[in-house]
Amino acid sequence: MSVTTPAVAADGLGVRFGRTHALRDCTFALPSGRISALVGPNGAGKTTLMHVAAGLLSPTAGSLTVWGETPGTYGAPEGMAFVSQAKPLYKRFTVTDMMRVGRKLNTRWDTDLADKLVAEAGIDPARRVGALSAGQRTRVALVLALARRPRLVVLDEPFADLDPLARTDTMKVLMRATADDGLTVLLSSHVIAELEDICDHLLLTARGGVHLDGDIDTIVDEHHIAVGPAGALPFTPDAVVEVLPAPRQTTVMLRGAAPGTPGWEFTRPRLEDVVMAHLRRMSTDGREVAA
Amino acid sequence: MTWLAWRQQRVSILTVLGIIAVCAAVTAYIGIDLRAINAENGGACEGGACRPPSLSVILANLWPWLLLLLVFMVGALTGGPLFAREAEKGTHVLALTQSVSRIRWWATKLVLGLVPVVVAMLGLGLLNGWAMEPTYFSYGGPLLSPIFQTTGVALAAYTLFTFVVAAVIGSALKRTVGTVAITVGVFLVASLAAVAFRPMYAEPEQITKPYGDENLFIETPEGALVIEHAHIDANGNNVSDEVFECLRTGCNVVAEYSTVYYHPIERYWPFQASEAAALTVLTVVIAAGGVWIMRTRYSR
Amino acid sequence: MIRFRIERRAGAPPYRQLIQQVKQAVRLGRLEPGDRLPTAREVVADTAINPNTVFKAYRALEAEGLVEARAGVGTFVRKTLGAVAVDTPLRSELADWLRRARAEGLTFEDVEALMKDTLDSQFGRETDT
Repeated sequence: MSVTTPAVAADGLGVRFGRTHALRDCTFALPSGRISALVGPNGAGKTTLMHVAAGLLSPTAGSLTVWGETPGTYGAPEGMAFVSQAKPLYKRFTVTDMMRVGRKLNTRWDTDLADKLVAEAGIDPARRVGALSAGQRTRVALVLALARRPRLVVLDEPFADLDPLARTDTMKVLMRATADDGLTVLLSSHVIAELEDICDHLLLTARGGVHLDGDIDTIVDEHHIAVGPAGALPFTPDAVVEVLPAPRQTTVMLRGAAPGTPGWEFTRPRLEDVVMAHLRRMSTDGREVAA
Repeated sequence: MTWLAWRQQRVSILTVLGIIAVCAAVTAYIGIDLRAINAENGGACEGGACRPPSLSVILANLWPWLLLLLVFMVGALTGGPLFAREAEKGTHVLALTQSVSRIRWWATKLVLGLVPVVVAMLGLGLLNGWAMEPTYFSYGGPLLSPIFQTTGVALAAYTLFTFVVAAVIGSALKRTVGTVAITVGVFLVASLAAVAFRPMYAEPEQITKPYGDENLFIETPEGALVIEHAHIDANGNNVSDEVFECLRTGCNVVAEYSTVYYHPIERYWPFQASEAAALTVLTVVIAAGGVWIMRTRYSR
Repeated sequence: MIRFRIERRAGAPPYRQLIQQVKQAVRLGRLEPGDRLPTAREVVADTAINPNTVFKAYRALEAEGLVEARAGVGTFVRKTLGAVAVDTPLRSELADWLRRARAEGLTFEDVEALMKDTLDSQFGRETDT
């Protein structure tokens, strides 16, 4: 496995349930060592994609590999760990029991790390999982993932049920593992604002297809918000992602156009602005803005 | 993996074993008391006067039906939720995303769940066979339903079958309530089918006597399973229907001879083996179906 | 040692904020040549941002020659920047001006807008909000 093997790579990946396509013709490559955000509206296929990566689902078309290997029915691929949206744990088990589950069901398991992470979270190992708060259960689920010593952690909506404090604490644990071990992370959320600071790679999906795939800074650098007088736009149509007209001025989201058009004020958008503009564009005409 | 399967199921397994133990105690009581009654005065009825039935006799009537219910409950209510409940709660995603193969996870849970229970039911079945012996004289014999299904090895075989059926349906359906409902249907169909097919496990024996009033219902050895009384006329036609019709209306039918088809009591163990073998084969086929489901369809 | 503050809703991407804050600290003498910058781990413990952001910022600073990375030890400041001492006379002049502005009734936002505009016209560059 070379350093340049992507953590997750898909080629024409498709997943169909009956007549519905949860994923259709997806091609992307997530770089190793990065924290990638999987973003999209509900029903965009984010969970399906993660389930394929974890070996829970087989593609009905195309392929997906994790560190170059195709996931099978032997559990999650070696070198990867998955935390599903429900953060499933056995409610009647104690935290110690859950650690034992991890040790028994895994070939690679770092007991010391697991104990250390549980202690850090301030959780009494003798407590039953059902008696823990949502934030504590997320931490336990994360311990189960990290103690496998994976090179890639995939998390489905990890921050969904967490209060702000639990969210920050969970993020810090993840970020520290990235800093210490070069862990690659793929996490999904349908709230984009919270991802901007922790992620450096973006995978935007909508209605089962991939619409944006790239380094976040690069993507945002390519975009500009331009505010200028109402009327005809002095930009090539291909560069215009979205137009917001108003009586006295027009606001435009541009991609690939260089700033400097006289009479127009250019500002750097936030990731959230870029993503929302693309999503709104997708829902109106279904076409992608040419690169 | 074994540790996890045990840890998850220990409460339910121990509960079921406890219930089976209670049933064993009742069974033992029935067996002991029935024999005591027989020893005292040779039977419940003597010289035209019948003693009022004691508790053990009343129980002995009901007991095979209750044990049949036990088979269903043990099989459906422990086998059904085995995978369906996990799927409902979503914890199968946890188990399937570690480093264990799906099949190993499924098979370990299944085997660990059924072995203690089936072994206990085997003991209970053999005990019940002993307990019911005193009733064969009055109630027909061990080849009759539901005594046949709830004695010997059949009790364990039916439990095994029901458990695995429920577990596999639960794996496919992923809903506990629906699984139990469907298992009821399968259990009933299998039981009725077995009752219908049982007489065919071997070629029945025959006793033939000339046609006559005293041979309308030819007597069979004690404990035999009677299949059919037939009356044949000179041309080889079966005129049994006319014979019984004329019994009511008083007409005259001429038949040549009468035959009774039956299985003697000695065929009990061979038939037990046949039925248990058939159930086991079915169970293995269904289990293979379960493996296929896990391989291809159990996901998300 | 310097502690970073990331403004999550600001327009500048986090790595640029880090670069700015390092440069500012060096300018004001809060960081001197030989001082060690916090490791990615330490920054993450404080701010919960992506450690790659820290690596990126430090690499950019290294490319400008302001810091140098010593493998296994850390990232260290290499030189000073500009000539703004903490107690320069310019600073007290600025404080005086601000006191007068406040006395005249200018709010924080008024001063900010005025400063921005003057900065732009003096240094001549695109708005970076």
